[in-house]
Amino acid sequence: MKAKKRISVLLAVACLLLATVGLATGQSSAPSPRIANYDVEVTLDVAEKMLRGRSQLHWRNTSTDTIRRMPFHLYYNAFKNSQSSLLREWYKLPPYFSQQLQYDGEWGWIDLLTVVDEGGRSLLDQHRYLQPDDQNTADRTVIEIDLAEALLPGDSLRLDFTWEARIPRSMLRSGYNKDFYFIAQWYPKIGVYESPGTRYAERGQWNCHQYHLKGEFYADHGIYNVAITVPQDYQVGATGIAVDEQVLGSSKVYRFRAEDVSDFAWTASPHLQVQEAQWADVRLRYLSYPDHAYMGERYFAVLKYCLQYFEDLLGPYPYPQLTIVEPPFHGLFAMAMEYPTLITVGSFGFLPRGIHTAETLAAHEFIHQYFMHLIASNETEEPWLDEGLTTYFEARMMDEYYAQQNSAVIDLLGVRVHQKDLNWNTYAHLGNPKIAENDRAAWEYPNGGYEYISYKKSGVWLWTLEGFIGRPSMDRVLKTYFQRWRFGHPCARDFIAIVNEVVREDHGDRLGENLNWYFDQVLHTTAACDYKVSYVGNFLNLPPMGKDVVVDSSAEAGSRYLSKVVIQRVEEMQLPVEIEFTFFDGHVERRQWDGRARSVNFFFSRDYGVRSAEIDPERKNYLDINYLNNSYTYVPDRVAVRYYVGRCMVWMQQVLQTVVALV
Amino acid sequence: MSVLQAYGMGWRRLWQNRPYWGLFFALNFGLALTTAASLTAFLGKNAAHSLSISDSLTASPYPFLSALTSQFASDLDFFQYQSVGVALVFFLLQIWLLGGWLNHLREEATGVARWGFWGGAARYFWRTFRLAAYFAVIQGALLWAFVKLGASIAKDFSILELWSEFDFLHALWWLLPLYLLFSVSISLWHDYAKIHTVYRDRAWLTRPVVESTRLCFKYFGRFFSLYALNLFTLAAVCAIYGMIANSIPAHSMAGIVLLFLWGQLLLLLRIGLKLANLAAADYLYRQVSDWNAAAPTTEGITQRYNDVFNPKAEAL
Ligand SMILES: [Zn+2]
Repeated sequence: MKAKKRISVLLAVACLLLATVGLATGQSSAPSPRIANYDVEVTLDVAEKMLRGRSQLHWRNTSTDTIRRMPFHLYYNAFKNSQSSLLREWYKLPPYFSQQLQYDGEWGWIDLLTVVDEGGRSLLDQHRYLQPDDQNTADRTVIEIDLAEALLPGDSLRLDFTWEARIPRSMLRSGYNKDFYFIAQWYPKIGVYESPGTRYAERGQWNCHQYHLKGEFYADHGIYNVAITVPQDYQVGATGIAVDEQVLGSSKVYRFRAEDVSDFAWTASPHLQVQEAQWADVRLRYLSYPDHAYMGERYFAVLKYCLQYFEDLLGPYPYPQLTIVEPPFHGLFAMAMEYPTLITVGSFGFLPRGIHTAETLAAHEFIHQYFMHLIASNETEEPWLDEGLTTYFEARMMDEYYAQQNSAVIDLLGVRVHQKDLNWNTYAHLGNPKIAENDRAAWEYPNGGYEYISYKKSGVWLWTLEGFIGRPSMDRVLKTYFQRWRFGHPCARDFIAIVNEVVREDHGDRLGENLNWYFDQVLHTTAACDYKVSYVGNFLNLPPMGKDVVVDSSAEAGSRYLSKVVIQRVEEMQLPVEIEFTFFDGHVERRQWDGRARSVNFFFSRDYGVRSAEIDPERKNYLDINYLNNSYTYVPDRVAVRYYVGRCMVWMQQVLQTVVALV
Repeated sequence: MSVLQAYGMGWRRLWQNRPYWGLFFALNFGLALTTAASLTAFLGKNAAHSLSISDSLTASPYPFLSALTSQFASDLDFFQYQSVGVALVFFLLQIWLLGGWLNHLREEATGVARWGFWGGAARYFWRTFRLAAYFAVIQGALLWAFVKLGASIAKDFSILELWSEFDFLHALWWLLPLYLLFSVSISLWHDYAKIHTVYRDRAWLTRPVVESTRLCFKYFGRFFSLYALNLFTLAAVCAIYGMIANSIPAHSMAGIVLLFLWGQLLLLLRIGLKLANLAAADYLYRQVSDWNAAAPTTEGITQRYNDVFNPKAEAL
């Protein structure tokens, strides 16, 4: 056992050396460009709730520009005082957050102590705080440092930082409570240098946004070697894989290594228990408090399904490990987040097996491994590129996963709900579907619009896109997008270009020259979609009568009925519409309409009248916010009405009889 | 043994008086029908012409129901207010009829005719109403105390304070049965207070309440056993209902009718259970109390009856 451990340490050291050599020579076989690489040593001081760290940044200038300044994220300063942009955006803090800040003084911050370059020159003398997003000069979450020596294209540099950070208590995404620690966005982290042509950059520019309430990630990939010192009885879980553990007096040092990741997060507590499972070459590691250990097998099952799903559809998960952290109740602030190779999930005690919300959350956070960690789009500027695609996949994968078990995402006490419908309902009914355009930056969404639009609306219009172009084309779009942009920084334009490319190849001109007409509406406007069958009428087809009637002898004998159906466009969005007409003799006809006019009439002359008209019979268009008016039957469905009335009446009787328990 | 006897006796007397059972059922059915009528009109106007309502019977009803409730939110508010109104009327009518039922049970068991079912209903309405109000306050206070206790165990579900939700969930294992025990005991006490009020026929409630409290403490074992038996019957009835109701396919008219009738059978049994429980309690009450000695004599009753309704009787 001991010998085995020694061999594994040696192997790890060998890997480290090889990787460093690779790094120094700019090894081209690496999956990612490895632009921003970190070696960090951090000590967790549980008494003072402090992090004391030294970090070394190895940064490569892959652009054609000369770099003279560098911006860094100092995320923890968002919790430094009430004037930070994040806390201002959070205008009404939940009481458990505001209480600790206002009354307990549990602020969090990060102080840079020294920044030194390879020549031993201190760079901290020339620094300033930037507020590129809102000009809030009190915000201290981005610092810019002047380099003593300009960095030429193709060159690399090393900067040494020493810093200390006060860990906020039970704060947004990161913090501590009791002896549970979840440490994310915690070290000085460099912004992204965008060369001309990267995303929307016309000239070379730094992209380093302040820390906001909504939208978190945008970073370059690299190698992280992180040594974390904690009290000896603490268990640690982190991004990457543990390569070494060493006891030093009353402390323990965990060493982690993560390759080709864009961030690093970790958790520590003396109460964390570990369960492990294996899927192909990927080790699944579940960390929870003992009372939530029972959720392990549920998470493993769904995550194995997700790993397989993406391997088949997009490409393999390229890391050796996926760590799943279930925070305890008092650590719920850390729940529902995604970091490279580490996700946080959450469930409430005795979660019935018929409610699959915990699995759905795990799947959601896993999907982010692909959308915005592997494909590192800018979540702060274009949140729909990861949250929208994640919502799209979350519903698609969960509905298919549970359909295999003949079930739904909620299947309890006769109530069955599918994830797709749940997300559609949230978009169409629970919020304001027209609150904001879908192309806004994360911090620009007003009043809950971030969730409704960047998550739900994007998910909804991605299914609708799939409805229009078909599943095979959609899969080709997603696979191309993944393979072309893995370890890159795409923007909306790049995604749309791939859609147009694939649709052109698969469908020619069927959907127009390109699909810009679709993206222009769903992304850049607040338009909603609602088509309505407003009228179905059947009339006896009487022969012409009255004064001066012209009888057309060449006309065929008239049919028995004339039918008229009116379809209306209620909202602003204009999408192609398919309508199915069913006649009283069972005959079915489908017609297409470009959906542009405010209304259109359809006439039929047949021996049987129209029994029903239905817009979008296969429900390809999930954007339609009113599902009730999508169809109209000439004869009302009294059976269904009686069913609901009967159910409601029995329910009402039960309530009445329960009330009289008090009599 | 007397508990089982009382249980059997309760159902027997209910069967003997089945028209009253029907009456109670009709009241429940009739009032619920008023909300059903407006719901029929609402669905007929707003949903019956949409295929989505038909699809909701075969696929998941969620898309239809979520669309309906959001498109017609204000109409659904109307149903809420209507339901509350109906529940209030039902509550008052139920108080009124229960006075009649208790008086009828008493007269039938003692052979002493006084005001009959309807006369009893009128005579005891105000007293049973006040009793219901007092006991509702007691039940409310009990619920409040347990909610407070639960919240303190759960540390108000504060993320900062509560270690684990299991601290609260595990406490439910004893909190819930304890609450049910207290709540059921109060209901039981309420029932015997009503019976005692009817037997004693006093204008003021203080003495019947105090005396019935004493009785409940003295014979708690027997009274509670009877209650437990009835609660068990209720649980069994509901379980059987649920199992069968979930297996009735509701896609056809026949299925819908069957489901509705099955629901009515459950209601009939629930209502019967409440009435049989009172009949059984009435039986047990006579077994253990000195109702005969304390009850007004026939002459006394006749006297009072004549005082009120037939002042000339004395002259006869
Ligand atoms: Zn997400």
